Amino acid sequence: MNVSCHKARISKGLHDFTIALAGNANVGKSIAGDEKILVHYDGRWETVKIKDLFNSTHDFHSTIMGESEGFKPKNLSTISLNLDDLKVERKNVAYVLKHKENRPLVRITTSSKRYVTATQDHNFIVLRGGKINVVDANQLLIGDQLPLIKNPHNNLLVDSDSDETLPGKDPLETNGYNGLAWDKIARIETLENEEDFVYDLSVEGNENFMLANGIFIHNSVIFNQLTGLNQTVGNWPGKTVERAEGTLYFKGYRIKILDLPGIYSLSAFSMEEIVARDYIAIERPDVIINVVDASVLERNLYFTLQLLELKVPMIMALNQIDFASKKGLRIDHEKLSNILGIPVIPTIAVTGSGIDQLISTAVQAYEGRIKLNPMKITYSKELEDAVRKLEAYINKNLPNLASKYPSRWLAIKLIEKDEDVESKVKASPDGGRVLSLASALTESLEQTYGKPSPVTLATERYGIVNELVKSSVKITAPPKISLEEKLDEITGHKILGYPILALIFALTFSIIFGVGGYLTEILGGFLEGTAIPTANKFIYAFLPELFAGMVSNGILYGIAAGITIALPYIVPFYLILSLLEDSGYLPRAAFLLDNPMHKLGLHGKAALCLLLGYGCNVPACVGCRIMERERERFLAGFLTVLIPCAARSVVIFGLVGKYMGIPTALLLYMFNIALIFLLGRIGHKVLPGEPMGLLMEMPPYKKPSLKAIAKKTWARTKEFIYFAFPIIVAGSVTLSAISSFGLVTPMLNAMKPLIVDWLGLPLQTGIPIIFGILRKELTLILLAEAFGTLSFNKILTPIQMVTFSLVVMIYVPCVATIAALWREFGFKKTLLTSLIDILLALLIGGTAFRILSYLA
Amino acid sequence: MIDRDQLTELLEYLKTLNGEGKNTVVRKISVEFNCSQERAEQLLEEAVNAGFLEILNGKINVTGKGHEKIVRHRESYIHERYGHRGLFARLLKFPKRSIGDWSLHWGRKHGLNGDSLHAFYRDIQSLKGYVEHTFPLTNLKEGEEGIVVYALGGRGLIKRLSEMGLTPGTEVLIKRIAPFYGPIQITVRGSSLALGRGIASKIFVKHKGE
Repeated sequence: MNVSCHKARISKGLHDFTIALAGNANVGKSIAGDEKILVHYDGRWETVKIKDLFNSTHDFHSTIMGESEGFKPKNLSTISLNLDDLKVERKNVAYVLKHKENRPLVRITTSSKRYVTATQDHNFIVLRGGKINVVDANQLLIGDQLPLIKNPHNNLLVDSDSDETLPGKDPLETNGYNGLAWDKIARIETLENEEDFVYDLSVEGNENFMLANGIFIHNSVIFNQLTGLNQTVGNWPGKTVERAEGTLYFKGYRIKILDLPGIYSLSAFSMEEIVARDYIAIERPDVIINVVDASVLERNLYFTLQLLELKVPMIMALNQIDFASKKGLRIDHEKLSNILGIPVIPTIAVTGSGIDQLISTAVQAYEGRIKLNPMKITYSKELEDAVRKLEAYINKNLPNLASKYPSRWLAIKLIEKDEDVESKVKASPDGGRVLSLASALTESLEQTYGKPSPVTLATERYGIVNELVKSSVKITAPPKISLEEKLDEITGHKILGYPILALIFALTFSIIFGVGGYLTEILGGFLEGTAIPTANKFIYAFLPELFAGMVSNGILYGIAAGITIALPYIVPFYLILSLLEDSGYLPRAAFLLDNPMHKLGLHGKAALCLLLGYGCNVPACVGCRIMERERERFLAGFLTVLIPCAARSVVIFGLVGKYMGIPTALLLYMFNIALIFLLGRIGHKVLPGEPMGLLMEMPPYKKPSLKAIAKKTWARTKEFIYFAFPIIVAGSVTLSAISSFGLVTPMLNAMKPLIVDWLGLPLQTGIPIIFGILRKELTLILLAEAFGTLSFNKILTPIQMVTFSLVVMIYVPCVATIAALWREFGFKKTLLTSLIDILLALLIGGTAFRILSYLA
Repeated sequence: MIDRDQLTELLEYLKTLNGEGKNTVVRKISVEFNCSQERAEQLLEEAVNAGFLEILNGKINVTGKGHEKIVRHRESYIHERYGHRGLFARLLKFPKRSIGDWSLHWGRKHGLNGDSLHAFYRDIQSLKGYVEHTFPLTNLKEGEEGIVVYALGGRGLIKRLSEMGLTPGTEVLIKRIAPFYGPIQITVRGSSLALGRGIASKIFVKHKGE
């Protein structure tokens, strides 16, 4: 056996570079189904043929996308090589996939007579010339060395030729592992694939795995964490996830892929756009992949032109070409590529078609193997002259800024009167002079062209886009009235649209509360019944009484509450929201609701924030980012915290709904809406500034992708957990601390005048009211504990129920929401909102008490 | 007595021709205005005497004074037709707002200031054709088409509109109008946009072929 060892001086041949991307990507290469791998499942190590992972009795649900099929395994792990420190470790398998492969495969045989059979473009980790690299199978050379796990028990963990599935030994266990060795490639041959499919794993973190014969090979990468979120480019800004990153190992490169927020253009209209363009302009990714929606070509190409002006190497992914051709548009991507001067790759991101070629092209662009000759965008004479003059002036006077952004771009932006660039210029030394020159130039341009300069620039750009489109797009068939259009007709219909909206709304809520309630019971039962008592045993065993109480009631119950109470409502809510968002319904809802929103000084998009509030105020508050300006954002935020979230709804239904009937409960909701209207109008009058109208793109309906929905839901749930859970736990701890230290009664007594005299409620209701701030979802439970009974009708009169519900509905939102408000709007506005809410709640509660008592 | 409307119309007509580099003769004018040739000549003479036109080498040119007159006419037209619409509504709101609006209204500023007013004048000056043919987008009915001519709005609005593709010369098609003075959905450059009424009423269009 001829295995050579290298120890220390292996230098890395991996190159790093960054791609900025907006889109979805799915790269697949694979190995033959009969290859044996070593996996750990169900508590033991097994050697299996990779194709048998699909046939096994392991429970899984696979997704079929085009020609590939894959699933997420549970508890499956394998051996992987950490390329940073060359240590062998056990890693989880994130994904198992198979796809159709017609091309011949490649079989690599090493000098130790081990072999690997894989697709021609499958990645291999090799040692070549003292450097570690990742190369394609068809670039392997005899003499390259593959990584091999070294093991004094003569290395062979399984007989390569045998067909048996042998139970394997854990190679990392003592006596086994002795490091990494390198096995020379002796022969490379092509074979036909006997079966239709090839298979692969995606291993978390290291992106490679060990075959049963000890050789490590690279895997394909599925961009799990990326851009399923961004499949709807520009469809719905204001996402909770701002930046998604992922790493891809591809042909010897470690590529960081960055997903930029969906944007139409690089003008400074919203924070996301500024973030995106600052990223591009300042951090200068090595390559930009401009994802262009082929079915909405003109507007997307406008953005392309602006990207080109930023002078970062760029290639284009012409996405959704299938959808475009359904619309009757045929796009000659080569022609487009010739005119634009950059590679244009047609892709269908959802199936992964074209993605491989896209990434290859990106790599080639980075390496300079493809010449990028981006078209130079020249405007009409006077405009060009002005731009050049300003550009030269900027080069001379703003060296600092010009080193960060291309000076021509700066000049163009100044002529466009871009506010963000103007402020950056102003902040630079000598910026004033540049601004004056820009101003003078703009003046004369307006004289010449007879229009404001931004309009001139936009018009000219669109002129160029028009030319591009004319030369590369053919309309083959007039689009028929498709299902999509019919759907659009009905849902936006001036008469039918509203009942449909109401229906969807009602459906959403029934599902959320139905599923939520059900899940709460189950989870609650489990936790209360088994998990917590078990945990409690340990806690009380090890900690002194006082602290045990705090830990148990505080942290334990806090987490439990988060799981059993918050999540069962939040998750279905996000699911449905993502579904509506992905299918494209939400802009229609905003369209229909725009009108009432105007009375509040907001516009249609705000309706969505408000709707979000019915699930949970936290994302609703954060969601206000979709409003374009501060004023609207705050107004929307202020109003959303008045919306009764799921937790508060539970109170309303549990008290008023249960004991006084659903209609009465619904009346409270109506009252709430009326209140929001009133406050909205007042806020609109009081807040300085002019309201801004609705200007929103209405994308066509599309079939929602389950994968995208799942990803979005997961991302939002995750963010919610990271943000809200700690606060819930902290609130919990505070609560139990307060009660442990016996501070409850004094606090209650201090509140007596307000609660009993003014609101007419029994004193103990003070507990759920006050501590409800910390744990709003526990309000009812706290109420039950305070009185020692679940039959609320015995302790509260109907009037008191109404008053109590009103107060809970209106007063300060829960701690998590306050935190969210603080993060979005700052301390002062949060304080203001909280104070107003408390006063309002007291006012309305007390008044209601008096009026209802009088009427009774 | 000079018919003011006709005079201005004549000026606008000539200005458009000037813009296209064309010239005209009395006969064509009388055809265009559906009047006798004498009347046409009379109009021309009055215009020249008033300093609005000059005739050089057989070419009839609109003078600077003439351009001013045109602009003022267009501006009055818009003011009369569309500037007043808000007045009643504004009177119904709280005093604080409408007093400010009133002064803007009286100053013939149409709710614009500084930059945007500047832009407005530029826009209406460069308008080709008759201002009477332009009207706000909100006047179009479902299914009708129009061509964007100019926008009456602040700098931010104009920029946003341009970015979305609503530049002068763009064709728009009204897809749907929400009830109760709600937003308008239009098709422009192959995609759908939703515009609030306020914004839509600030975009001026004209019918195709005018």
